[in-house]
Amino acid sequence: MIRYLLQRLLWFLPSLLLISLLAFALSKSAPGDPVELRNSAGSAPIASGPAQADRLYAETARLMGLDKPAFYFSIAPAAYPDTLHLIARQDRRQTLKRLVGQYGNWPLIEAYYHSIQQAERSMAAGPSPLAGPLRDLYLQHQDGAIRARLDTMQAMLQRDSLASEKWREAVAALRNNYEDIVARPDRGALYWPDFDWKGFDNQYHNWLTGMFRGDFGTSYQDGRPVRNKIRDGLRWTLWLNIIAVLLSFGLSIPIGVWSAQRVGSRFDRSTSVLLFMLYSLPVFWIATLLQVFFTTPEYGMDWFPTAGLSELPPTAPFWERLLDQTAHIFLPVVCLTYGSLAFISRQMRGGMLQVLDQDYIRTARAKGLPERRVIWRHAFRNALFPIITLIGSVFPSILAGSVVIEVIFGIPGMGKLTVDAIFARDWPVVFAVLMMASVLTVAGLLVSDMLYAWADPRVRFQKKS
Amino acid sequence: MKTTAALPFFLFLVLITAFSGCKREPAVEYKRTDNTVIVGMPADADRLNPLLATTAYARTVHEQIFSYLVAQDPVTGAFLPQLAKSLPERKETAEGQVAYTFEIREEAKWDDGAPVTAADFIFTLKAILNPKVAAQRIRPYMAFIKKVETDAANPRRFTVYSEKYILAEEAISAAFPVMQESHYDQAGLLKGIPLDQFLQPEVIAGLAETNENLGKFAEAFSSEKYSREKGGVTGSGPYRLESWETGQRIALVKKENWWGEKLGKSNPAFAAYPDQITFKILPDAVTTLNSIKAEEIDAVSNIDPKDYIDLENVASVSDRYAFASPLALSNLFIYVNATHPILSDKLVRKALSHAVNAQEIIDNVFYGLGQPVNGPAHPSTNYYHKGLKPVEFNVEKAKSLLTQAGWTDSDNNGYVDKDINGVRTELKINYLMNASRETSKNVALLLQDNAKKAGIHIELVAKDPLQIIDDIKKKNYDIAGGGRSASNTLWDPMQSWHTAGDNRTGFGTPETDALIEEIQVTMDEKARNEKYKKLQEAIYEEQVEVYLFVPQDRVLIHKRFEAEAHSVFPGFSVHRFRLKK
Repeated sequence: MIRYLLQRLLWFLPSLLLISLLAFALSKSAPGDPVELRNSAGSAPIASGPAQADRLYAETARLMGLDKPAFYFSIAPAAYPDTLHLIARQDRRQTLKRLVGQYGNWPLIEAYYHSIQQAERSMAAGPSPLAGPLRDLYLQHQDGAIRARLDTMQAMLQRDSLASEKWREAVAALRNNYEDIVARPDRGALYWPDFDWKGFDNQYHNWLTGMFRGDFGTSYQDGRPVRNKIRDGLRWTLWLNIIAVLLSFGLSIPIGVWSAQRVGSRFDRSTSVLLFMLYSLPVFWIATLLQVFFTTPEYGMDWFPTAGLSELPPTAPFWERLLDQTAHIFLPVVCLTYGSLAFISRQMRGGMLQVLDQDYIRTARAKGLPERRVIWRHAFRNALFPIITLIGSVFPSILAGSVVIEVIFGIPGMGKLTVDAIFARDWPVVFAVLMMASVLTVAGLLVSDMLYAWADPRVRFQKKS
Repeated sequence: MKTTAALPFFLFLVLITAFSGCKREPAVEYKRTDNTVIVGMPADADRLNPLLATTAYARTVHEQIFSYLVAQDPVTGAFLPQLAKSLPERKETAEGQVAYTFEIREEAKWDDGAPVTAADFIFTLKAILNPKVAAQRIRPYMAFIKKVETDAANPRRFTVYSEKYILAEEAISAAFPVMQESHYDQAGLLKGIPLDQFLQPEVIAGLAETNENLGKFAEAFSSEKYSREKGGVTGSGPYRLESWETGQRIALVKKENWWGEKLGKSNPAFAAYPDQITFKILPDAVTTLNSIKAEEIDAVSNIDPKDYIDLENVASVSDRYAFASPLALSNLFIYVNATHPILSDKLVRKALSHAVNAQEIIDNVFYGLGQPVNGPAHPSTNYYHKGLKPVEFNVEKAKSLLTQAGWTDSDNNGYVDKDINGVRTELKINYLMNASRETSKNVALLLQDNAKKAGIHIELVAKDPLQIIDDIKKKNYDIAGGGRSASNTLWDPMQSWHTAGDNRTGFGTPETDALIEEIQVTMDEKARNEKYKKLQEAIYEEQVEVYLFVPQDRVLIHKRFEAEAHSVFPGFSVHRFRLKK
């Protein structure tokens, strides 16, 4: 058993690594720039010019650690330069990548990019009608869109002799550089892979090593240490889910056993119908109805508070607070529990029915053992396999929380924390939650395996020789 | 005789009838009668460090804890001196700069009894300008400050020299509160670095790499102690942070013997009536509704429009809450990409505007809670161009404009088309809408339906909001729903309307750019308002944004308090809630 557990743990580490890589890769592919989101949160800041806007962007990226290369290395077509990560702005980096992907000839694309920058610098001294279409070029990679901007600038110069005098050469350089790209692509380099080593000072490495030290980084949204945010969310999610799990299993197991004992009886049929009806009711609907009926005076049954976890301050006496919190979590726990009753009880019932048909059960009865002892001492343990499988899946679900229940009842749990983090592209929080869920999933599977062995001594973990 | 005898009886009957007709309604009983205000808020504050906080909810909380040199009266819009004795003295210098002189009140004190001084203001500026501090939201406002001079004879008096810029005074005096140097920089890490170095971006950027004090300060300043902890978050305002249970509630308690208490009688900027203020986090709209019905909160805003209308008919709610719907400081519009080949034609854009029925959207989607507008300026401002009428919904006019632009329905399929480079092209444009919001979808459907009447084919494309923002930024869209906050004070159009700004529609000519740059430095109100109106005319003429309306906020305030709703977020000033006797 120990050897088996150690083997499983050894397999677990590469799985964890793979999950982390997948999550990291997905975060880089998701739309949205966390730096832009951070800078534009709340009221839009004013900038005294593009230079200042770029400086602000670079500062924010540096503070968030997003100015570093994403990974240890890149394996990309040889056409892509190894210094692209030095361009701070994500949107411009993406545009250049797309241009390289289309034409391959990085030196010409670089020259074109520099000519946009030079033209922009020359326009910083005074107003220019070309500033708008020029800045658009930073974000355009399609031929039609680029040519439209170049044509617009050309037309403006033709109409405005003063502007023509100032910026004719800059615009000409832009057009020439672009035409060069189109005329002299180097697509061959796109089919040739190139390995580029970025070093250990990269986003993924910093995050991974921090995680092994217990430092999950800081949240992009509010700068709080991620572990503190998770601690706050986990506390309530754990309480709610542990109570819900205990209630679910505590109610479902006896119901399943009694149904199996009385298979086909009125009790069996009526509990099945009732539990499946409950199972079919959507939790958000039930939660809302419970809230409307039992927390507002509209129907004269405002027995529970509407939302939150307590009305009393943290300094209130312990028992008063406990009572108050119990009243607050009653309805959420009901919502978390009712849906799983049908599934667990049916699993228990099915397992029991299989076991009750066995010869040794008939023998036990024939020996005159009391029925209660036959059921709970002999049959129950052997019927636990499906339940043990379910127990394994409880571990990650304890952490997950239910975002629907948390939002409706105003509980600041893990579900809401995770969903809010995803929408806000708060990747440090998302990664931390994902890694914790992975660890708990594996832990759950290991616990299930151990419980199988306990439930049925015939279970062995070694390979059969 | 008979008449005489009957008269008392008759009078008696009259009296009985009169009294029974004057049935007294039972007095409404309130669940709570204490002087604590519970405010419902849909999201938690991110932090209570005012220089680092990014959400409007955070500001709603921390402005009860901190004081500003000058505060805006949200009801009248007037600026009132708060920490400052009076509004700043303004003087133009020979170098073309503007000098703003402030003097802090003698009575202004921190919680430890120390006076608020110019040194605290300078410290706050340094904290904002430190590149290692994540104050990106406020830092750009300080770009206009060139110098700060203190008065050696008076530690409370100082002068800020700024470039000429219309928002400079507001930015210096009301955009950030003054923070206590001795509390937030206990190790004196910034003390040794002169402010002049902070005011030069290249210098301070270089110093940030070599002087570790800047990084150490930033780390301490950004810590949870100064963002979320009782005793750590402290200011000169009337309230102190009592507790913050993340995601649940933030509790503030009125300070005893607060230095500004007596000033509240003559200056609304010092009004602080509730003994306690609790901000309760209610992320779900239905939960908020139920909390109102259960009388668990005293004030809330931004209620769903339909719920707002329905609640007015619920006696238990209307008996206990006052309803108000002030104009919000925002507007909703449709972005029109003027760089698009079809939409680059002004006639087509104008036709599109005439095909939008803003009033129908207000009535059907927002239940009448909105006011049509003609442009980006807020109707409450004195520079809002009243001479420009909101573009009327007129299908015939739209059709006529399209015909003028060469679009006709040659194939009688209900949509107009035109020969473009030898190819018969239908007038078909994509409308980007937020996939997750019901109101967004309903607006889109109404838009599509009305545009069809004018012969414009609008295809609805649902996308993730961040993807929409990305597409709009890259001008990779045709038309898209948009919204923007509006100012009830001065408006700097640089960001949204200058070609060098974050211009998302392709609007702008050298003339409008020059006009915007003039607006930025025109300090005379009358002259500036004329320029604002010219800019609004130019925007109106180009129709690069089809303005729908300014929404009306939906505010509920418990009747046990005397309070006024207003346009400034969140729609009420909780410190002004006065408990009725």
